[in-house]
Amino acid sequence: MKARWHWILLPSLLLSLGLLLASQIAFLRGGFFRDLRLGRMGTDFTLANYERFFTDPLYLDSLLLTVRLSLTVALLTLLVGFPIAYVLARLKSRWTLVLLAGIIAASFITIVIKVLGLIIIFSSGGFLNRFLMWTGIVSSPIAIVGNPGGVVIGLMHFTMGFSILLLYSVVQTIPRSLEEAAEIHGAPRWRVFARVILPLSLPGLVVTGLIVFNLCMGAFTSAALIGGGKVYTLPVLIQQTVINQTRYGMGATISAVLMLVTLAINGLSVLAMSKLDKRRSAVA
Amino acid sequence: MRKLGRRSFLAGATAASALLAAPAIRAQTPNFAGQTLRVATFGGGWDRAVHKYAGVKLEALGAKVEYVTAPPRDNLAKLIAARGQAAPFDVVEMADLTWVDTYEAGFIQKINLDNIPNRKELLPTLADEWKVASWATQEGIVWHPERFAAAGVPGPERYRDLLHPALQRKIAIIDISQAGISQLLVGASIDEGGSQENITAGLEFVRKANPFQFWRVGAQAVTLMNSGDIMASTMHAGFAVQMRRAGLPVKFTHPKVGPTKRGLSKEGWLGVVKGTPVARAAEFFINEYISYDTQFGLATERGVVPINNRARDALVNDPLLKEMFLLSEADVANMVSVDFTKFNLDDATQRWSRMITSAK
Repeated sequence: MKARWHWILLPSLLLSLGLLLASQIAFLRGGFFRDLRLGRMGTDFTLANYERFFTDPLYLDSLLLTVRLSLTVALLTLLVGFPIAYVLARLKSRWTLVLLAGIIAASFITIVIKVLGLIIIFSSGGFLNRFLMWTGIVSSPIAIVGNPGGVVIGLMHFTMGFSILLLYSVVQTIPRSLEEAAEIHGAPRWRVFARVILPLSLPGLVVTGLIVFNLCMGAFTSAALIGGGKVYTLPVLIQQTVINQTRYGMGATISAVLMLVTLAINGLSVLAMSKLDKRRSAVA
Repeated sequence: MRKLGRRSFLAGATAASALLAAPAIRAQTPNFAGQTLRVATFGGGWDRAVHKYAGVKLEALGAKVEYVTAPPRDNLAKLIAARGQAAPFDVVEMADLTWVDTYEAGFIQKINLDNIPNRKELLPTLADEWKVASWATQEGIVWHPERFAAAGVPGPERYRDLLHPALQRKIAIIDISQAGISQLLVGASIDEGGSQENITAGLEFVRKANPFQFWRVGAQAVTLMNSGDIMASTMHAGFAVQMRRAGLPVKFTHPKVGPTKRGLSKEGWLGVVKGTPVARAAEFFINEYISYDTQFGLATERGVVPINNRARDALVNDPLLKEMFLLSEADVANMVSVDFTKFNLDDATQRWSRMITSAK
């Protein structure tokens, strides 16, 4: 009989689902009641908050902006992080450990410090802008504060460290001998990458991309601080609705939509990956 | 037998009366041994400054003081979240509209004013059985004179002066989520013919100002001023004091509002959280908070205006604070004070969000 190893995942799946539902049940429930000020909610079940969310451009635009920013960050992080992870994984040097330790240490720096550091680096008198203007690459300083581009940079800064660590472990699982075999048979470097490294890394890339995407969907600090109060992602809107306006019902609705959209995108990605896997298996 | 001299008699009588009075004095001095007072107040070093002056006095009587640091709206949210359970703190520091909401939601209890003798050094309007003022700030414009001169822009006298074309994306404005936003919106509105109830003109001012950033943490605006990204920011005078002490040559303008008013005041309030098991310790702490020592210390260290009259009078001797603050009674009386029964933060937040998102 074939061993069903995947059943071993069931307890952790149930535990994760239990923790997720236990913490989110109040939000999911609260979204169906009208706000009565100061955190109090009505007792009559209503879909009014959801109706408002899906008919009000403020919320819909915010949802689209949050998804767009998170997707952009996920793609750019993979694009930048994967080559770094690959080089680190293939590097035969004692410096590899030092570099990895550096990445781990940087990942522990609190996000507020990272964000304020970025604001200083990108300030009009900061060394980066002075350098860019000195080289003539830009004629006026680049500002990251108060625009979505800056938030993307902030989120990439936040997620890059552990993306590299995840991708590093992915690349390490690919035997070097496969690359060498392809090269011995005359495959140029780019083809080795496209036909060997990339397909074998794909599941890891998707998982890393999804983790980064999920983190960005819920990220508040970068959007709030670098966004300069002008970039209204859903987490920013949730904070404003719950803390400023003490409208817990509407806050719950926004949170529920954010969670469901995130779960849906994750589910669709996993589905797409498994279909791709099946097709590949059939071709093989 | 030795004759009892006058000196010996007096010494003996003093010692005897001291012995007799000792238990009475001991009874008057409260003992808070084993009690823990949790105070919800601002972070960013404010909590440490408060502890240095007020907290240590309570700890000297045996209590332990812990601080829960967050902006007032966040602390209100914590009280709301804990509704029906034990409150997460015993003393709460509130500002602006948060005081009204905290009171209306029934989160605070009456204060025994007999335990707040220092209230006699406050204006009568600054202490009642529900709340005691903790500080005042003066909202206005912090600006960098050298940068203004280089850009050929005259120093601002009113909020509308920040609409100069050379200041586009060169100023920071306080975010809607922060205490102090009501003063800006009301001040800018009244200056353009609006009122406390009608803040459309204030929102329009914010839209036209096109700031570089809406700051959520004062440090953000300070960082931007330091880096040269901005030339001015709407914030309270205390930040100007801190920047000047850090070597930034900034000035502070108390904006003219309408034909007669100048400057905008904002008060912080202390309340005792309903159901606290350490009410007496809470009242002792509040009394120490408004004492001359604490108020003078907070003013000089953190740049707030004391609500203790004696401490405010003493500030006249500090040249920097004298320059940055309006301290005379006439000046203070002429400042705009927001009436929170008329200002609707919920509506303002909604309109603000729509204005900002549609501005792009």
